[in-house]
Amino acid sequence: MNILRLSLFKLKKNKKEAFAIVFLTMITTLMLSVFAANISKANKAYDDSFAQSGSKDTCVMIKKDKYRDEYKDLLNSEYGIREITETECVYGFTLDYKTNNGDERTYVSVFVPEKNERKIEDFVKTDKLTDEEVEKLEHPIWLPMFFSIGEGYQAGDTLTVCKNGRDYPFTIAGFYKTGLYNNSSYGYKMVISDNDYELFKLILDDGVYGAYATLWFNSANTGYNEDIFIESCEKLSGEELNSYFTYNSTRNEKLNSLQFINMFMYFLAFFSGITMLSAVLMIIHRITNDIEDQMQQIGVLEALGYRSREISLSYVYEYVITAGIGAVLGVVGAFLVSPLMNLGIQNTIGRPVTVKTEGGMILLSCFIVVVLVTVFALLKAAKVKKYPPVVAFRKGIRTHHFGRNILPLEKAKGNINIALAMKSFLCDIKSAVGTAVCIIAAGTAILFCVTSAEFFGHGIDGLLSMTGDDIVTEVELLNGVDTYAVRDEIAKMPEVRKALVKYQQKWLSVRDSEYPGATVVFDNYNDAENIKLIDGRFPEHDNEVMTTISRKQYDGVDIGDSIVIKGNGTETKFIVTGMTSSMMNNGTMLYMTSEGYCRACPDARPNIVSVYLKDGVTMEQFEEKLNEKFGTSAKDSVNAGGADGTLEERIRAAADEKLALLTSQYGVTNIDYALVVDGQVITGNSRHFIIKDVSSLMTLAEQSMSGVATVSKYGSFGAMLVLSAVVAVILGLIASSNVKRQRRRLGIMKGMGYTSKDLMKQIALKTMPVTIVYVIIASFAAMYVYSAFWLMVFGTVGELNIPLTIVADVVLVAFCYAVTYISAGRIKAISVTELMTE
Amino acid sequence: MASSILRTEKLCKSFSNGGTQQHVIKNLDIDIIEGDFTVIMGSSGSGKSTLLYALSGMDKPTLGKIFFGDTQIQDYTNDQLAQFRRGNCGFVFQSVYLLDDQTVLDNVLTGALIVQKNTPELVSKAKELLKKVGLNEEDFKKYSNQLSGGEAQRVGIVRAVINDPKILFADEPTGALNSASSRDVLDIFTEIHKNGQSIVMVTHDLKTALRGTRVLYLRDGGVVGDYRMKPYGEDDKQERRAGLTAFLEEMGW
Repeated sequence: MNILRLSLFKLKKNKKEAFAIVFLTMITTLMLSVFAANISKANKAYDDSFAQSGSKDTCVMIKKDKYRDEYKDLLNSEYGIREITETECVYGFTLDYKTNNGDERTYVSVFVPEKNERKIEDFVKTDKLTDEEVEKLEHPIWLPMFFSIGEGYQAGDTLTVCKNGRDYPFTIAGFYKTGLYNNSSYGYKMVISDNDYELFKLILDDGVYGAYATLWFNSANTGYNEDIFIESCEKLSGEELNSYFTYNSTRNEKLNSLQFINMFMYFLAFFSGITMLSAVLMIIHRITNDIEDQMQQIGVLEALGYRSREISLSYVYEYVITAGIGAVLGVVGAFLVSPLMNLGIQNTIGRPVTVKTEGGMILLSCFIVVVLVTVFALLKAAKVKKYPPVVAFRKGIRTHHFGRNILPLEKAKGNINIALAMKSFLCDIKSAVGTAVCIIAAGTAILFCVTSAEFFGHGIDGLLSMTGDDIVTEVELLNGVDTYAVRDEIAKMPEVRKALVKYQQKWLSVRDSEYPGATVVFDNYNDAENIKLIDGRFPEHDNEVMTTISRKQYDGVDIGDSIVIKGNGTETKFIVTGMTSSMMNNGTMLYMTSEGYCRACPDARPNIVSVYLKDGVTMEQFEEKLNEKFGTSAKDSVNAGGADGTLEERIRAAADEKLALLTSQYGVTNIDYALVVDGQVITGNSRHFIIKDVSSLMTLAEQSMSGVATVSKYGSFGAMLVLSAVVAVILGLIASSNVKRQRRRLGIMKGMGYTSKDLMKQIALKTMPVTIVYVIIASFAAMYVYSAFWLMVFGTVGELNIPLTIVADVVLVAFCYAVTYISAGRIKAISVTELMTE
Repeated sequence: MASSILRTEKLCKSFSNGGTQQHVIKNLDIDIIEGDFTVIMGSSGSGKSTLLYALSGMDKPTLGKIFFGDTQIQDYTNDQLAQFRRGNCGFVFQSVYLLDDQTVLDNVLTGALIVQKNTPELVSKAKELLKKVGLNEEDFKKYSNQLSGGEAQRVGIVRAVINDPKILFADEPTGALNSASSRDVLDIFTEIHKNGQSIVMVTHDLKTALRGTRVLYLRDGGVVGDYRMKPYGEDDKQERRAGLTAFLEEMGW
């Protein structure tokens, strides 16, 4: 009991230090608890929601006109999968939508009629209109849960599909629990009426859009692999299917849905590790200092009959009580944060979190923190044993600098405060090593956050720079149009900075690789503005390809190696000439020249003009001028409606609309017509349509990236603040310990005429040499972590901002100086008389 | 006539002790004359050290004025007082208070470099002074733990006078020394005073007080006696001792 009272007395005496330890342990416990309590929550929420949907866990979609029944048999013969649900859907790929309030959205969409949905899963409806209300709806649509949880839609809202310039408004009848297709990358499965479904089969039948046969089955523990399955299908049919199939499974969708949450959780664990480390090191530092400071008191207590073990325990209790309070506060914080975490997880994965807060995990985190503190405090406090009473009375074995005089003052030049600070630092260099780990770790994390916050601070600009392709306006031309001639015309427009001929992006398989690659084609890569060469050179010849760092990791393909790219019935060998990086499509892009691409896909024709607009020119302004020059695009002409004027003019307008529909949506390349109206022959053709569609890749990119960019920006900024607070606490503790330990010395100096500011400056300057070294080490570590993070999360090489890192280093050093200087302010409280009369 | 270097007007110093005010110095008016070796004596608790700290700007008075020359210092901030001390005062403490982590020479230079630039002349001066007080070149490199009490106090005196202070304060400088060391230290003070240094010293030791030219006797926070003597060595030692003893007995010492 006496020992506990002694601990409480010490706690009362060192309130500020106790608060600092409470802060560190509270932050540690909070982050560790949130990590431990939530790491499995998102996973569980996903699994629960999936189980409630009654869905099969795997789906393969093959374009309807390429599908054969034998494919289904392959699943049985090769993987033993017998229970297969065969149905169909319309794959909308990236469709444009308008919300209730006119906001534009783009969703990867999969449409199914209700009868098909019921074959796939239980179609469990959640928030919905009444049955009577639903009955009355002309165009009802049932949306997966993501739309209510993540996007905030409500039953009764209008959601309008925009395709080819025409609007297709739907009323949201309600939401339902879906197993698959509730994810932005893989798409959202939307249930619509039979009539609407049939309509969409017609209007969405173009390229990757259109009707797909779907096979739903459970593939767990069957050895099923999508790519191998499709290869088998290709062997069976002798057709290239890569461009005509897509797939999904719980494994893939879950991984994708939980990616961001998991990343966040591991960051929390990382940061809690840093604060834990800091807390433990600070406790060790404090106990060491306390024992040295209170050496004579230890001697007195031992002389009074206290055993060294009891005295050690007084130190242990002090820190266990402090850490315990911090840990309890952290637990309270974790429970308070829990509803917010649930909300965040729900919004991110688009599925309800029904799991209760994992109180056990939170308490376990608290227990771990307290046990760690106890163990390290016990180990360090055992030092008391080294000092029997007589030694303790003599303040331990004082071996003060009987060796060489480091930095003698007679040789000192310049400011005496700097000279004394450096002298003090060199004499006490051992104590600086103890703080190295936590300052370096916290500094690394801070600099990482600074780089991330700056990167994401520019909105999506940073992410756009990592796409590995030029994100510009694309003008898609109708078949048969001379793309190069149109390119030349567009290039001459005053709104245009540059125009290049491009090919439609395709997914091509690579032999011996699990990863197909999305193609990027440039005639001359020097024209590309957003493709960064990391190693080697750009492809220049028709047998050359540039790949990515990610592919190098996945497939081990390096510069100089050959890869075989499978086109439509062809297999073409390419030599890898260079490496770049891209965060798109898991970074598995294939970069070729036009000639090279035509070797891989002999049927490919360039039909896209990539337009680089001048600064300040909007997409709308450009489109207006483009229409003036080339006429309205076929897409926009579909809804143009009849013109006013004579009968002939109105008939021609109606005919043009039909031509536009056929050319823009059905792949018709050329139409001639002749109509007889009251004996008058009206003739015309489709050759005046040049442009099929104009689209801005930027709009799509903005929508898909802005959320991640915003969350990452604020996340990085928040983490930066918390870690700065941790560093401030560490340095504050060191500074106040220094003041306490050097009380006598500082008093003497004050007596000599050194002002408090002089002494504060000396203490702050003393920490500078190590701080500068630690910050430099932290910079390199942060750069390494940053690169590794980008490669791991986005499959691309993170762009290091060296000037920013240097500026951040300087700011961090200045911050450390300022914190230490301010923390040393308790010097002001030491008067000379206090020193002399103590 | 010699001028006043330090003067107080109605100087008061109180301490709060468990909620009650303890008035240690009460309405004190004194004049410290330039060139004098002023000794402050008094019984324990009479306020000797408190007065020394207040006069030297190490502590702030509760009330009243302190004039250093024509400048009032009682309202100075702590930092202003530190700057005042560094330019005008030197201190010799009873407990020496050398910096443990610095050599003898560095201890002296630490006091000097806050005021002066580091020049070879300054270093030579420091070494000369150290030699004058009986330390040799070997001693310059020693740390405080390697010095005897007398040696350490001599280093303390050199550190106090290195900046040629206008006034040197000493708080029982021989209090922790044996008689031989005490005599050496007092001889140094006498020598310094002969060179024109103003000194204010607190002591309760008769032998030490005999070195002064003026003895102020304090009782209950006020000066109750002011005794003047010739500079040490300029009069008969027996007579000097008898005179001071009589004064102190009169004061109730």
